Amino acid sequence: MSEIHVLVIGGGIAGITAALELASCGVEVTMLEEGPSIGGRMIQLDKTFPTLDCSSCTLTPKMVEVALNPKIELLTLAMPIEVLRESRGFKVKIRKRPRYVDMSRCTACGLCSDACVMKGRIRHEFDCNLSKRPAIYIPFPQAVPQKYLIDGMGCLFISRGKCKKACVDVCGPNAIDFSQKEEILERYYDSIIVAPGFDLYDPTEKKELGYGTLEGVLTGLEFERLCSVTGPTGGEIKLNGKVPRRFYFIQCVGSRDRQTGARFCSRVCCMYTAKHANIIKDRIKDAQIYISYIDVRAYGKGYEEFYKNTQDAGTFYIRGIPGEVVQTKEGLLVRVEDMLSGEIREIDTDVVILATGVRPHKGTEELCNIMSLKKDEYGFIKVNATEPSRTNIEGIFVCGMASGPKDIADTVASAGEAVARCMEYLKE
Amino acid sequence: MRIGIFICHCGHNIKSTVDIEGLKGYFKGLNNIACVEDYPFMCSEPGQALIKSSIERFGLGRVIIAACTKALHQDMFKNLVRDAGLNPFLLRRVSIREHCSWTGEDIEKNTSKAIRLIRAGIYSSAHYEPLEEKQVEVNKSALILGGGISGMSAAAFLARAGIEVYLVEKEKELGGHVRHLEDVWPVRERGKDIIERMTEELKTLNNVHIFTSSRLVSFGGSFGNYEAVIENSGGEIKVIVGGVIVAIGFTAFDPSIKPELQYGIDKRVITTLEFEEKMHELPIKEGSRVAILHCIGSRDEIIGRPYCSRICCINAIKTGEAIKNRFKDSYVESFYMDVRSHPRGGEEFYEDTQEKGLLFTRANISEIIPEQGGLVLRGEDTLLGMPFEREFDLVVLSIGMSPPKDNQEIAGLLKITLDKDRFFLEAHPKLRPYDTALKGIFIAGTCSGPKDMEESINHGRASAVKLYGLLNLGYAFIEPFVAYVDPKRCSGCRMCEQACVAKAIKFDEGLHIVRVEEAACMGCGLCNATCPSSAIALKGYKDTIIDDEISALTEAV
Amino acid sequence: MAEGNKETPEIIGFACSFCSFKASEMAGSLRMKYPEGVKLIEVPCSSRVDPAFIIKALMEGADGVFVAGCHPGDCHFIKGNYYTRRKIAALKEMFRAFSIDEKLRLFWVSASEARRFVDKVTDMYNNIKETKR
Repeated sequence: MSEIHVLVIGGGIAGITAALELASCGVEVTMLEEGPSIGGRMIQLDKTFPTLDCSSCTLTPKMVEVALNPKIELLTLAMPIEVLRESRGFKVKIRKRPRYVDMSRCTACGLCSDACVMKGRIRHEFDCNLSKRPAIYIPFPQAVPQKYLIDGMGCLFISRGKCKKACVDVCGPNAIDFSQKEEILERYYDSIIVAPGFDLYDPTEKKELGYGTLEGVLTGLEFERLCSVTGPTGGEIKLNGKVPRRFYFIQCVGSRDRQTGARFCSRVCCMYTAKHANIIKDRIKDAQIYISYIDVRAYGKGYEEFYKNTQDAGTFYIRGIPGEVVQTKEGLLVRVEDMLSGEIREIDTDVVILATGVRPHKGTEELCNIMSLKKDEYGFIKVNATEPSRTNIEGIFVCGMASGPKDIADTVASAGEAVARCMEYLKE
Repeated sequence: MRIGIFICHCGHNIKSTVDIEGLKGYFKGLNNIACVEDYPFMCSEPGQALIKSSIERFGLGRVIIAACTKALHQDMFKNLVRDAGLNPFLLRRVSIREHCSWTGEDIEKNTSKAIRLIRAGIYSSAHYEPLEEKQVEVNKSALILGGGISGMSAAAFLARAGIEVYLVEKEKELGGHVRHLEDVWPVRERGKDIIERMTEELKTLNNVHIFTSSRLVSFGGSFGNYEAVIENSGGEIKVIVGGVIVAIGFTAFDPSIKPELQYGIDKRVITTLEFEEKMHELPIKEGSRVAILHCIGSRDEIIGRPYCSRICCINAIKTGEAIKNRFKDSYVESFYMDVRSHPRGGEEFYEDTQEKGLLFTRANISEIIPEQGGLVLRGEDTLLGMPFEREFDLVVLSIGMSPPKDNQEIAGLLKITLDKDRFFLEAHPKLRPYDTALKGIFIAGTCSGPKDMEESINHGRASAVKLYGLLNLGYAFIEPFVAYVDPKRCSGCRMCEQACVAKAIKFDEGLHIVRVEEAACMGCGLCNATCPSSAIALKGYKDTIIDDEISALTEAV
Repeated sequence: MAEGNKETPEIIGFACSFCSFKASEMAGSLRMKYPEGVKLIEVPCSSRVDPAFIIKALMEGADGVFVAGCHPGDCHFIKGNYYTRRKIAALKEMFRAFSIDEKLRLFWVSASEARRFVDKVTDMYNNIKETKR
């Protein structure tokens, strides 16, 4: 089977699982990742529910396995721009953005980052813009590949042609290469597995919740970065240098919500909120935590128990979604109708965390266009429950959140299923 | 000997309750310690690079990694050590996370414990020897226990991939629970049709051997060459298989253990499964009043079912919809705790049925009282905080999933483990959701916990891919932890031979000593503990290794 | 030798890699707490535990030793734990003569019984702490 070659699009946990399974079945794999490192959303997380083990500990070894596996070719900063059917396979044009750093030379020593004049001036996407980075950087310390890159937009030399180029001076192995250009690769693949993943709902439009306008209103993912050791505060839960004591979580923000056009349940927010409550209780002993919910969907293995433990540890659940969040002298005030008691309650808090729902990744639409994949009404790739990875195009399979919200365990299983279907297709 | 110690912070997990600097300081001064390094995540690429470069730079003879427990990342670290030019069996993992930083809160005490644990690693690994993994042939065949939707999906994949499949089902026909469903959500097909389509497909594959009305009666061997005996009316059949997928499904919860629900006493109380089977024979008509109770046999600690069964909310909604579709003027009320309509399309389904007139009331139902006119439900509306009594003509219990009946028996035969709810226990809840601790044995579908049909299919086929990945080369490597005999010390007393359960020890009449058949040795070490003259030893667990581990743990810090 | 006579007992446990050690791993990952004095040595099967190890541990200063294996009938090596049961019973009998039988315990913990593992070791620890006073 050595001449068979499969393209995996997306380097999150779904794509990683799929690539490793394919390789173990003897198939050659090319993995495309749009960003500078694989790891996807999962690597942004601090811990995972319901076991509370750290995300890095479970995922980074898999990332390294991808990098080391001789059957897997990893292309970062790369996306397909054209997919054409050719016999039973596909001719794919891949656009590879320049890294401006020679991967074969970079030793990831980090001197360039310290030297960069833009140090601490560019918003860091990996930290949900909560921290600032230089123009030459590595997205997070455990990134795979372990290579620095220059962000063309942020780099003064690339964007304006003017910089003293301190990075070049400090780089011992001479890895920085401003002459790199965008490359277009043309390849043939026998089959494709797409796993572009998801984005989170941007709650700015929900003015009443104050996201983007009030200090102390965060999204779940932002809070996740605040908890993380690799995050902006080194894992200390701190806002503007102070440790908050009072937390208020609001669930179903942008899920089960006709207003925002998302009627579906995002499947992970109930549990990640419970997880956040656990993390807070662990690090801030006297924290006061409220969680507003509609239904608590603790459906997976060990989830119900996790939810119960969260309640038993002193987190208050309030049934009802707040009408508004307002600024007060000492912080924030949440107004909510508690549906169980029928009362309107006003709760003072330091932080409001919005458990934002899931949306298809922004690149999914483009991907569907170039591959002629059908989408459902929300923009997820359309599949059928008895054949959960089959798309409308034969030979192209989907896994992970791209076909609808899933937790990590379900994502892993769906990646395995996509590989099964792909292997069947290849054997036909 | 040059020893390298690598201490992982594991983000906060170790660092927050163990004094890493203290550890480093302690070990730096000791004899033979060539380097002591620490890093936030040893398992990440920079962490691995640090270990590798240190091995090369210091010419390390032993590598001690103090991090998470050995069950995690062992293969990865072994490969890393091998790539750096050191025999991977000279690696020692010390668990300072699961056995230290997570089990105690006092930094000082934890640090002192970590010192002893790491020291035990240093002392005992001094006696390690370079070992080689053995290559064994594996059979390209698989045993699948359970012919439900998960097992059938797995069988179809494996057979098409060229693996010989033995599919064992205890019932007369394949299909499990799905076969009996009248309306499978969300595909809206009859379960029987889905199953028959799959059965036809399996029958076209000539390397699938289907055994219905059969069961597994004995099991042995090791990965690549498991021996299974299947029994049915035709007698016993012995098969040799490379791996096993356990997909024995679930048992529907039996609500008669909750007498307050009147199930089995009053005919007007039925389960969702019964509703599926005899939907059209039920005594309901226009104007009938039907109650649907959620979470029967789920989220109920008192009866030992604390978990959510994941499918019953959708089943309840589906039941309500079916009644409403047939009798527009019926009164259907669903009593729930939380509506968990999380699957794809589930939330929309929930909303749409509400629009059709299905009522949802958040309530705790305490009992059902049978009366002449109807069944009186007594409970508390948890939104209004008010007790209520309402009369219905029919009550449908949305029952949950209980562990499979044969769980204990299969777990015993295969030596796999059950979790606290008596479902099968997976190797890792997220990244290895269908693996067991044993190589080549997988658990798929609902036998490891409640799942819906899509998830069961995913599980079945994903575990099949994993098994195929293990079997497709035709060979595999197994750990070299077997017993060996020192012929100079062996007195030929044959005590080990009697003790050996695997019958791996043979007596050599000519030399009057015993020898070990490595292929048969299971590596338990019983012989080692039995031998009066320390002549037989288990590789990797020799007396000296354990002796020094004991000394290291008891010695003062 | 261990650090003289202090209040916190030192306990050494032998745990089989298939059941009890797995349970201890799970206990850790569930963040269950138990005394730091309890330290484990992993063995492939409880039957690997030579009575000499137990005597050695006690002679070198451990305040207690336990052997933990799979439940009877669940042994991964078919009947290793039956041998363990007989061996420990004989050893305990011998220890009784010296009134040190409380220093040795044998118990069965399956891989999923993290709670049971913690309860068993904590109970033994407290018991020994009591007698040490």
